Amino acid sequence: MNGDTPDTAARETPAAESERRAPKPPPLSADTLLAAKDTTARVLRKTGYMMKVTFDQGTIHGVVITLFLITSVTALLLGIVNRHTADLILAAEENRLRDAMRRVIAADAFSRRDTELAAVYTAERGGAPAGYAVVVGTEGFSGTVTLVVGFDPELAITGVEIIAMTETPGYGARATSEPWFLGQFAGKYGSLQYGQDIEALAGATVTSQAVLNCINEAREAVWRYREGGGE
Amino acid sequence: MKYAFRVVGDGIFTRNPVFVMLLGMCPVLAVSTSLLNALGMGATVTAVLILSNSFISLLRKVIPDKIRIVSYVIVIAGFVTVADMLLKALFPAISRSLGMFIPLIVVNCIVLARAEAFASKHGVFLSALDGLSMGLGFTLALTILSVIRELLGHGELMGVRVLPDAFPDIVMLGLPAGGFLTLGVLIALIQRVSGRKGERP
Repeated sequence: MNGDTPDTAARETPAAESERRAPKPPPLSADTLLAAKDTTARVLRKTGYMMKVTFDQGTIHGVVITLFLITSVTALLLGIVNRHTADLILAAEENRLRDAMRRVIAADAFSRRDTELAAVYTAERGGAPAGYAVVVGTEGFSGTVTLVVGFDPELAITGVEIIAMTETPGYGARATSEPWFLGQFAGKYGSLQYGQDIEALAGATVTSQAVLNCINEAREAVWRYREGGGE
Repeated sequence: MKYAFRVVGDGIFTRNPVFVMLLGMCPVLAVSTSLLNALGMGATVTAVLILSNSFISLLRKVIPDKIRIVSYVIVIAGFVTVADMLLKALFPAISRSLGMFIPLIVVNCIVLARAEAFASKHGVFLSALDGLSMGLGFTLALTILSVIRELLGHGELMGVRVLPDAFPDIVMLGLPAGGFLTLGVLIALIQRVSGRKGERP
């Protein structure tokens, strides 16, 4: 008999506990329903009143319409200007690239062939193949250094020019202001390394290495393009 | 009329945006490495200031108070983007050397400050005049800074060698640190000459 007691307690406890913790809600009476209806109505009236006040003062309308008008007019203006300048901007960029390519390789026509590594352009002079111009960029000391490298059909470098960089003035930027640096690459074959035939800029190791990486990558891109069957 | 003269004098000298109000320092330091950059940036900011000030002054009674800053920024961003596209199309070289700093005029505090402090409270004529004078003040400051930095830092002006080759370049003046130093020295000199006493921090 004694052993029965805990058993019964265990069986009854959960039900008793839940009863104590959450007493059943009293059944909904007509009064509660009416009260709820009243509250809802009051809240709705209040909201409606607030909205009415806001609309009467014109703030919501004013804000939405003014902002819409200002953005639309601005967008229209931008669209018009863009329509008239887009071609000019594109042409200016292309001219610049073409001029740079003409300076690194003696040719009069270039056609773009994209490869995985870089944009390779095949160059022609008077209808005959003159070599390649490659646009390639690598990370320099501060930002990307972008070069155009020219190769003749035997893959000797014909010229190198930097078209974009943000290197430090007086240090890395000497790559453009000291002509001997880029000039020393002309006529070189094969994979290049500083200290063998070519010299780095003193005080600008990172920039010098970036330029060299670009040149080696450009050669790799041309080589792969030719391996791929293009000529 | 007298007020108009004061507006012009304020913008260029007594309340110069760079040397006195110390607004828009980031492009000032970044762009003042060469005279050409300084003039390009100054002209662009002046044009944007005149246009944004005039239009914001025109719209000042239409724009609800609560959304005025948003509206100003939209107007300013519109004009800056137009200026950016025009520069890219017509002066690609200048656009390239100014780079990111043209689009960044949108957040240049001189432009927004003049919209909020002047154009939203004055007529179109005075607002345009204020834009012009503030722009000229900005250009003047940039020009002085860039002449010092380009001449002493690289021995050049407008990219042409001016100083004899024997004169040593003070390379640091062309770097960001040199910009801070030059600006600091110039502000100190101007405060000294104009007889202002520095306020205690």
